[in-house]
Amino acid sequence: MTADQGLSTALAAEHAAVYAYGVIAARTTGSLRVTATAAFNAHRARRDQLRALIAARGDAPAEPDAAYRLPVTPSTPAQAVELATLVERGVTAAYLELTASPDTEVRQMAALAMQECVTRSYGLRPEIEAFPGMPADVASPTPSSAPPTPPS
Amino acid sequence: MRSVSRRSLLRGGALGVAAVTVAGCAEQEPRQAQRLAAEPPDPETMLIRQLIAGKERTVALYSSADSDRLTPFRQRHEAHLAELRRRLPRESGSASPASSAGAQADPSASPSGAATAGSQISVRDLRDMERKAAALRPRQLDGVSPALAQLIASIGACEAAHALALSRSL
Repeated sequence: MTADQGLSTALAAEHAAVYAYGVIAARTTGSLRVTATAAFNAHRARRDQLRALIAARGDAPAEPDAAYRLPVTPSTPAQAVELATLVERGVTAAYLELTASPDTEVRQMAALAMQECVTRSYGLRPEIEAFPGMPADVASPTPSSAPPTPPS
Repeated sequence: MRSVSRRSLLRGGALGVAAVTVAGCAEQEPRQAQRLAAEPPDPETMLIRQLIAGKERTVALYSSADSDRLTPFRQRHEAHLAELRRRLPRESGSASPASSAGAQADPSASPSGAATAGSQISVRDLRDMERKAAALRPRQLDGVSPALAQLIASIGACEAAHALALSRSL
């Protein structure tokens, strides 16, 4: 994997996360909305960082899709939490891929972003995996789940 | 005087040759061992050994806490330990806990308080240890293989979640 491929994958995941948290924040109230808004801002900041990294390499960062197919429609707080944890899991997997980048600074950024995703996810649902971002079979680490996808 | 038959002489000679051969091998083995010992392991193997030593210490600290509530935390560290041992090159022969004892422990595996593996450790000490470990992981990614970088990053994410979970239980 080249650094550029990993950056593009992570950017696509962050675009999807920003979209999903926008929906979650719009459909929730109270502390859950506050949490979703904070997550929205955090993912937007990482998205902008990825855009800058891609642009600094002379490439054009991909723009977000107009809409994304969400795996869960957040009609209730439980569904909002379900969607948010799925989003964090997908973004964690995208950053795990990026930690294999040949660029050390990119690796470090991705590792920190993974920690942010996992702690945000724990804040929503107190569950911890031994190997976040990895599939059950650790022997071949590849992204285990995908973030929301744009509708085809 | 008892005469020594030609046959027994020959047998003795053969044994003598065998003894010399064995002695020769025995002399060569220490030299080979010295040569192997003199060759430093590659930096990635050294890092894995360091990580294993740190994880062994972490598991020991969680065990010393003797709390059912902390068992899942210890089990996840044991999973990290098993995976790290699996990644150790076979020829290094260091897949056993005893062989990693000589490796310098990951500095993150030292609690900030005075507690050691032999004494009761507090949840606060464990939380601080997890925080230090998680903060260290991104700095350990420089120059390692992509596969090991992914494993270290994933372990660091787990440790970050541990630190948060332990903070909430204080």
